[in-house]
Amino acid sequence: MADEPKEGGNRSGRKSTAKPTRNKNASGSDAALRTSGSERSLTATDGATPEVAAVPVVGIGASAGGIEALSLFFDVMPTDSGCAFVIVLHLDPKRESELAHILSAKTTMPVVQVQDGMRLAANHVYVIAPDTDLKVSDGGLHVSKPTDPRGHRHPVDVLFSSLAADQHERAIAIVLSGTGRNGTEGLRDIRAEGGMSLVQSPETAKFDGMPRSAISADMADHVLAIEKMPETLLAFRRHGYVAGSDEIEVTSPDGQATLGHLLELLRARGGHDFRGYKQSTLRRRVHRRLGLRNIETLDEYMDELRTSSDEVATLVGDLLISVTGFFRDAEAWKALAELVIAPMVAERETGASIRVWTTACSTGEEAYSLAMLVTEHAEAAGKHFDLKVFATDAQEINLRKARDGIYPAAAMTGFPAPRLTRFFEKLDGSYQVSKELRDMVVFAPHNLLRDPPFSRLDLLSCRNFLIYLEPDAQQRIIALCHFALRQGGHLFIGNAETIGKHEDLFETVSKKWRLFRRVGSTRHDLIEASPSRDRSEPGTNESPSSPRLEPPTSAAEMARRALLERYAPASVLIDQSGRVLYFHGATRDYLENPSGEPTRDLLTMVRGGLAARLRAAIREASKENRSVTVNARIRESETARSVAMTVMPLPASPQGGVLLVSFAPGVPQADPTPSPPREDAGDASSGERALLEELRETRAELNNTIEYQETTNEELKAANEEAISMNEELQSTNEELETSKEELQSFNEELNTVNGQLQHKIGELETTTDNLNNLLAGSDTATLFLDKKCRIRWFAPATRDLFDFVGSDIGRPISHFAQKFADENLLQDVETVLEKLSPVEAEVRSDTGRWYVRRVLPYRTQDNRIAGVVVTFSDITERKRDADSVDRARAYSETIVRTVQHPLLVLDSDLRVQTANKAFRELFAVFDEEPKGQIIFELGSGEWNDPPLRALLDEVLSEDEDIHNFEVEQEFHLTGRRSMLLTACKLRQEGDLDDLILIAIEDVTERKRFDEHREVLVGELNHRIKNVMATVQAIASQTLKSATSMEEARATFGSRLIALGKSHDLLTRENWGGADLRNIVKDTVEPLSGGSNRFRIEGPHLWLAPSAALSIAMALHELATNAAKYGALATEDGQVDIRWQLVGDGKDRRLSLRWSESGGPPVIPPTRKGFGSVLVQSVLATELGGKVDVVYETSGVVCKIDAPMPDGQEKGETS
Amino acid sequence: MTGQTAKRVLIVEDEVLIAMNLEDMLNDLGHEVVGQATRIELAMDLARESDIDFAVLDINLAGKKSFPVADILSERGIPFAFATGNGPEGLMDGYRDFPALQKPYAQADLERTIAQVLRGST
Repeated sequence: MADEPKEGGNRSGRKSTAKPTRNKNASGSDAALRTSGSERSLTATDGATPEVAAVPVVGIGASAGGIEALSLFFDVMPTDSGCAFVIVLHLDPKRESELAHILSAKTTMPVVQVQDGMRLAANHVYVIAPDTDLKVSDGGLHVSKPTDPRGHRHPVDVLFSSLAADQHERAIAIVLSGTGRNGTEGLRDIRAEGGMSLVQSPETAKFDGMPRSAISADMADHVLAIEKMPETLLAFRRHGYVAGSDEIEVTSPDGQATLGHLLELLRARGGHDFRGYKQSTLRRRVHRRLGLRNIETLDEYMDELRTSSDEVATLVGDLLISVTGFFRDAEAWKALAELVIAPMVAERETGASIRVWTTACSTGEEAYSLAMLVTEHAEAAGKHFDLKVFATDAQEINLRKARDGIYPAAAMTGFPAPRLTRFFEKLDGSYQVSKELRDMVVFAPHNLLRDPPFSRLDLLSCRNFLIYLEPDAQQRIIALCHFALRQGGHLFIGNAETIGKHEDLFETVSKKWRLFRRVGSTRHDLIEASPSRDRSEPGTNESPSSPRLEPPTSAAEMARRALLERYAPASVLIDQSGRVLYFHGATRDYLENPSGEPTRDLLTMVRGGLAARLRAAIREASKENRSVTVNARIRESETARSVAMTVMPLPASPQGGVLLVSFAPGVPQADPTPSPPREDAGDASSGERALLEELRETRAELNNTIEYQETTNEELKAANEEAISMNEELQSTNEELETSKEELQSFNEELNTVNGQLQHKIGELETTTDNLNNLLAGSDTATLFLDKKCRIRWFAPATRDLFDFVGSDIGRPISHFAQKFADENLLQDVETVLEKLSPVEAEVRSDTGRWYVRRVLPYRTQDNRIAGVVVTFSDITERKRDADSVDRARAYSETIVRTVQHPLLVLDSDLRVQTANKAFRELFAVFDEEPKGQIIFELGSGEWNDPPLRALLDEVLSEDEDIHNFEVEQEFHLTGRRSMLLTACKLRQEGDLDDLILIAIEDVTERKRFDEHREVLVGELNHRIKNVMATVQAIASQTLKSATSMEEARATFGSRLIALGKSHDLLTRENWGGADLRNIVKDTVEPLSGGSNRFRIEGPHLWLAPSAALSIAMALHELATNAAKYGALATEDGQVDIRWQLVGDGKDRRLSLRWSESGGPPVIPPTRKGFGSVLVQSVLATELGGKVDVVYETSGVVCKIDAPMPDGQEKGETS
Repeated sequence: MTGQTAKRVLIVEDEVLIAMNLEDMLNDLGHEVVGQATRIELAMDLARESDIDFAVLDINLAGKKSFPVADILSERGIPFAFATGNGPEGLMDGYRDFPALQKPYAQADLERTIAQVLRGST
C-alpha cells in the first residue's frame, strides 16, 4: 500500500494520492470499515488491473441471425451507457468481416474490429476478427489463434469465461440469435461469478438454438426481446456497480449454517422446504439474489426476508426452477408413447381409469402433454378412458398459469396441426388448452419432499426435478415414486436423472429415455424412513430436526411376526430369474455368500448340493405353476444334511414371476443315506451298493456337466465382454460421428453468418436498385448508359421514346439504332466527353415535335474509373413552349407599349423606371436614353418629385388600388407647364418578384388650352352679339329718328344693316381677329358701284382691329350711299377715289385716308346733319381717336380721315 | 319725362353708336350726359373729376374691364349701373350685387335701373 501513490496511473492510486497524509493505518482502518468483499478490489488495485472497474464490459455472443439481432440491439441501445460492448460472432475464418461496417450504420458509438492488446473504452463497440478467440483481461482485449479445431470452437464461451474471470459480478453477457449451444457454458462461469446474463427470447430470435440452450440450461437471468435489453442492462449496471457483492462465504465464515438458517426461515415463512436441495445450487442462487438486491451480507438479507414477504416469494421463485415445455425432449416422449402409453392403451378396456401424476409440473405444459398423448392414443384405438392427470407444483403462481392453460403460440411450435386444433383454442396471439383437456388435469399444490404422494398411479412423470436435489433426497423421491405407482406402473424421469441405488424397485423399460417400470411389493419401510412425513404447517416454528417416529405397530402385526418367526420355514422370495427379493427367517443354514462380488442369485447362494435340485424344482414349479417339493442333501465336509425345499409360485404376483422358496430340514431318517422321498418305494439291499456306486458316478457326471456348463458360461462371459468392447468401439465411432456432426453444424453456422452478411448486402443492394429504378422511372428522364465503345450498357424505359430499343439491345452499338430525334452530334459529343471528361449539353428536337435537353456526362465507377458515358434526355417541351409564349407575350406587350400614343411608364416597387416608352420620352423630353433604373422622382430635373404623386404611388403599391385620371400639373424644364392625367395600376408579379406599377400618362395640356380658348370665344361671341344687337338697336333708333319718311327709313336701315352684316362677314372670315383695310373698302363700296368700276382704290394693306374695321366700314357705307344718292355715283361717269397711306413709323404711325368723289352732279351741302354724317364724322373719329373731315366741294364730296395707327396693332389683336 | 329731377350722367361705353343711343335715351329721360368715355383712362379721369350724379359703365372697354372706374365711383359715393353683354357672370367680385343692364336694353330698363341706383344711394 505504501507504494501506491508512486504508482499512480489508476483510479484508486489517484484517490490515495489526493490524501497523501493518510498513512498505512488510515487506509487500514478504511479497509476495515468496508465489507470484506472490498478486500478483493483492494487486491485488484495492488495487482495493477486498475481499469477493470472503470469500464463495464458487456459481452455479446451471437451466431446465425446475429447480424439482424445486433443491428436491432444497437438501434435501441443508448450510446452513452458507459459500457464497452464486445461482440463475438461465428465468422468465416477465411473471409473479411463486414460486421463492423454494418454495425457502424446502427450506432453512433465507434465500432472497431478487435486487434490484440486493444484497450477497452466506454461507449465503444468491439467486434471479433475472423478466425480468432477473443478474451477480456485487465481491461484489454486479447486475441489468440483458436486452439480447438474448427467445428469445435466455442468462441462465445471463451469470451464469456474470460469476462467472468475479469469482471466478476460486473460481467454482463448477452446471448442473441444463433444455432448450437455456444455461450451456454460461458454463461455458467458468468453466473458462478455472479454476473448477469441476458438471453434473447427464442420467439424473437431468428435462430433460437443458442438462446434456448442458455435458457434450458437455466443460465438466463433475463429472457428478453432485444428491445428490452438496454433497460435491464442499465438497471443491472447501476445495481451491480454499487453492490460490489462477493462470495457469501467470505462474508459469513460458516456459510453453511447461515444458509441453513435461511432455509429454515423460508420453510417458516414461505412454507417451502428446500433442505433436500443441492447446497451448491441454493448457495449460488441466494448469492445472486444478494447481488441483485444490493445486499452485502446474508444476515442483512435474512432481515430483509423477515420483513418482506415479496422477497421471500421472489427467492422461492428463484430457488424453484420453472423450466418446462410441451413435449420437452421429443425423443423421450416418443419413447414414452411407444413403450408405455401404447401398450397401456392396448391393454385397458374402454371405461377403465388411467391415473397419471406429473410432479413439479411448473406451468402445466408437461401435464397437458401427457393428457394429449394418452387421449390421442386412446382415440386412435377407439377407446375411451377415465383419464386423470394429477399435476402438482410447489408454486401457486405456476399452478394458476397452468390452470388457465394459456400459452404463447411459440410454445406450440412443431405441433402437428390436428393436435393444435384438437386440443387448443386460438386466442389473440396465443392458444388456450381446450376445456376438455383442462378438465382431465387436476392441478394441486404439492411439495414432493414434504407432502404425501398420490397412489395407484399408472404413470408418474418426475422429470428434471431430482437434479436439483441432494442424492439423499433423490433416493427418497424415487422410493416415493415406487410407493405411488401401482404394480407395473411406469416412472418417467429426466435425461440426467437416475433411479440410483433403487434398481430393485424398478425394472428398466428404456435406459436411454429413463423409463422404468415398478416392480416388487410396496415398500413402506422406504417411505416411512423418509422425513417427509413430518408435515408442518407453514409458519409454525418447528424444530428443524424432528425426531423420527417409529411407525405404529399393531398387536396383530406383532403376533403375525412372532408366529412367522416361530413356525414359518426359512424362505426366500425370488423372481423368475432367480434373484432374491426377500429373505425370511433363518436362511443361513441353507444359503451362504459365495466369494466374489455380492450377488442375489439364489442358485449361487445355496449351499453345496442343493443347486441342481433347486433349479429343477424352480423350473418345474414355474412351468406347471404348482408347488414342488424336493429333497436334497447338503454336503458339509463329510456329513450331509437332508433339506426339503418347497418352491411355490405366488399367485399374487401380477408378473407371475415371483416364487417362494421354503427350506426345511429333511425328513428325519436313521439311515444316513439320503434317499429322495419318491425313491423310498424301491428298497433292495442287494442292489444298494450298486445303486450307491451308480449314484456316485452320476454325481461325478453331474459335476462334470456343471463344470462344463461353467466353462461355457465363462466363454459366454468372454463373448459378452467382446460384445461390450465392440459396443464401446461403436460408441466411440458414434462419438466421432457426433463430433463430425458438430463440426458440420458449426461450419453451417459460419455459413449462416456469412449468408446473413450477404443477405444484408443483397438487401442493401436491392434497396439501392429499387431506389435507382424508381428514381429513373419516376424522373421520366430518358437515361442511357453507353460504354467506351458506344455500346449500350443500360437504358431507362423512357429512352424508348427516342430509340427503338428492346431489352436484348444491351451490348449493341448505339450507332446501329435510328434516332427518333434530330441530333447529328450525339456520337461526336460522346467522343468529346470521353476525351475531356466534361459534360456536354445540347437541345434536340424529336420527330414528334418534343424538345429535349440532351446531356452527355462521363460514367464514373465507384473507383473513379470512366466506364463510358451517361446520356440523359430531359423533356423541355413544356419549358420551351412556356418560354415561347412568354416571348410572344413580351413582344405583344412591347408592341402595344410602342404603339400607344400615350406615354407609358413602368416602375418597380422601388419606384425605379423599368420601361418608358417613346411617347413618354418625346413628350417629356426628360432624357434621351431609356432611363432604366432611375427613380422616378429623380428623372429629368426632379419634375416628377411631386408630393401628391408620391402619395399616389405609395397608395397604388400599398393599397393595391388602381388610380384613374389623377391630374398632375407640372412645370417642365423643356416643354413648359404640362397638365397630365395619370392612370396607375399595380402589375402583380408571380413568385417573389416585386410588383410593378404601370403608369399611363395622358398629356391634356393642349386640350385644356383649347377648352379655355373656346370658353373665351363663347364669352366673346356672346358679348359681341349683344354689342351687335345694341349697335343694331342704336342704328335703328338713329335711322328712324333722322328719317323723313317711313320709306326712306326702311331703305336706309336695310342698307345699313347689310353693310353691318358685310363687315361682320369680313370679321367673321378673319375669326374676329380684325380685317384688312383693302378688303373692308372693297366689300363695302363695290356693291354700290353698279357693276362698272367706279372706284379707284389705292393703298397698302393695313390690318385693322374689329371695332375700327366696323366703324370704317359703316362710315364708308354712309359715304357710298350718299354718293349713290347725291354724289358721284348718282351719275353715269362719276368716280370715287379711295386712297390711303401710312405716314410715320412705329408708335407715331398714322393712317391717312382720303375719299374724294368726282364727275358727279354739283354738290349741295346738306342742310341738316343726318345720321349718316354723324356716323362718318363723330362715330368714326371717336372710334379711331383721330380726325374725320367731310368737305362738300362742288366737284364732289371729299372725306379725309387721319387717325393714329401705331405699328403692332395688327393681326392677332382682339378687342 | 318721369318727373325725376334731371341728373348729370357719365357714360362709359366703347361702342360709339351704342353710347350715342344711350345718350339719346338719357336725354329722352330728361337727364344730361356730361361725360362720355370710350377708353378706360379717360373714363377714370372723368369719374374722378366730373361733377356727376350717376354713371352707366360698360364693363368691357376695348378688352379692358371698367371696374377701376367703378372703384373710383364707389369711393366718391356716386351711384352707377353696369351695362354688359355678358350677363351677370361678367361682374367682378365685389360688384356682383350691383345693378347691371343687359345689352340690348330698352329705355324702360334704363329708367328702372337708374331709379334703383339712385334709390339705393339716397
